[in-house]
Amino acid sequence: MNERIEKYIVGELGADEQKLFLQHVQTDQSLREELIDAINTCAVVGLATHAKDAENARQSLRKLKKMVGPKQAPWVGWMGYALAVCVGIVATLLLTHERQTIDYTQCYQEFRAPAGQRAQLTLPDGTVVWLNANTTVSYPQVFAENERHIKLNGEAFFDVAHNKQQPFVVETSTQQVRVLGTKFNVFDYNDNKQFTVALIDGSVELLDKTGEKRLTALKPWERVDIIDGKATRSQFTNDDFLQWKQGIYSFDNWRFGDIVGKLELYYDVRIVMKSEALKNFMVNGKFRQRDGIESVLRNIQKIYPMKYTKDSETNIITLYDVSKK
Amino acid sequence: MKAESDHQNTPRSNMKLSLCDDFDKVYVAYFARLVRFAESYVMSHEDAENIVQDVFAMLWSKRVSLHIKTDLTFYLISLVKYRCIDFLRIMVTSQKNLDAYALSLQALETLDDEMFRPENLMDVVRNAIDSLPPRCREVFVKSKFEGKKYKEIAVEMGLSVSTVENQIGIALKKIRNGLKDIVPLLLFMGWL
Repeated sequence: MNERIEKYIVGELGADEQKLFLQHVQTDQSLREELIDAINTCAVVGLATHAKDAENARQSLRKLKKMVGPKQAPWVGWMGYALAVCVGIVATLLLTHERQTIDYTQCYQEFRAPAGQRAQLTLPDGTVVWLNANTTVSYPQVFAENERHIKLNGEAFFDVAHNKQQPFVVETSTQQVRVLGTKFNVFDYNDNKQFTVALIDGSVELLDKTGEKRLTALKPWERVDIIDGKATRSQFTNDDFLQWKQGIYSFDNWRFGDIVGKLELYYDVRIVMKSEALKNFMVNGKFRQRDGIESVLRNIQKIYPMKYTKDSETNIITLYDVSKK
Repeated sequence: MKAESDHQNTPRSNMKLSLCDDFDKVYVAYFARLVRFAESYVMSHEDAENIVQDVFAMLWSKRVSLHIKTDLTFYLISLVKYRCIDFLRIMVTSQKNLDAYALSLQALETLDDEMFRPENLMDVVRNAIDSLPPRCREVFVKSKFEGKKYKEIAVEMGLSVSTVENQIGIALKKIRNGLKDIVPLLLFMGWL
């Protein structure tokens, strides 16, 4: 390990030496990566316990108790600051060390599955969330007392930890879904004109965007699709559409045009189709998410004569029908 | 002062503590460790203490409605991590120490939360430290956990400063090796 990295980590680099070193780090990418690795390693090591920890902590604990008092008063933060994901908190200069009340239930942190990948996350209350590709979930660092409110952009499957006192609410750009403890799937990518909620177990309520108007309640194996403002409720017996959790996209007799629409969302690409016949072609198939979009297209090529090109600048994929009609 | 006595194993029972019922115990078990973690990024001991204190004060005021089902270690580290990120985002807009704060911010944003989930995390960390050769470990503990400068350590242990430097280097290298399975270099790795 680079000697200056070691000294930097333990704070033994003199001010001038440090300045020079950091300038060097700005330009040398691999040095920067090595340094970041060292910083993180050292930070993790610091999590080990040490003999004097308890004693030092007790002192600080006494100070804390003096400051907050016995009542459940809202904590007046040590510093006023703008949290990047904190809604409604006014930015003030750190240097003035202004005290400000911070409502942590409004400070949302984000968790994201990038395009073409999935993720799984467990929320502090024990709820497990599976995220499909290109999906973002935001949740507050501390849940509010009366509800567990999270925001969704994309597609996610929830297995909600049961808690009667704190209903779980999923807010998308168009609706809200409220549950007590249950397993369900929500699909609502921003700017894509479709919202779907499908219930596997338990019960959910579908509300309007503001959360004030109750639209309907679902029973297991029911789903509601809202497309272009029009809502349809139906029952389903085939839960293949949930196989995305295992990384499989399953299309059971779908129009190819619609499949392409889904692929655009999951892989965050634009796909242009130059043929109506191609769009209307019915497809029955399963694709592995991790094989990527071109693999899907190549598989389609095996059953329908088509050609595709990808513009590396615009990232647009164009599909051409080469069947003799 | 033997290095062994400087460490106590985090009792398994800490995992079962609840913020609601055992706030004081949780505080005492985690405060100093979280401060060390924060300090690795925010660089000032005082700022690190304030950040962690801030987090605990918030938890104190909300403790009645907190029902944390996931691992407490993971939960607390996440809170401190995000609070540090917020702090660093402000500090990079000031003119003082801009480069250092920017570096810390990038490092912290690169750190994958998920590595704090496994219950054996602290055992792996403990092991990495305990596996160091005794003198090397003593030097490292004095530097990292007791905040002593090289000169101080050299005097205390009757070594030259360059030996101390050397031992720190060895310690960091060995520890990095001991942690390599849990501290990935890369950003979020999609789970496939």
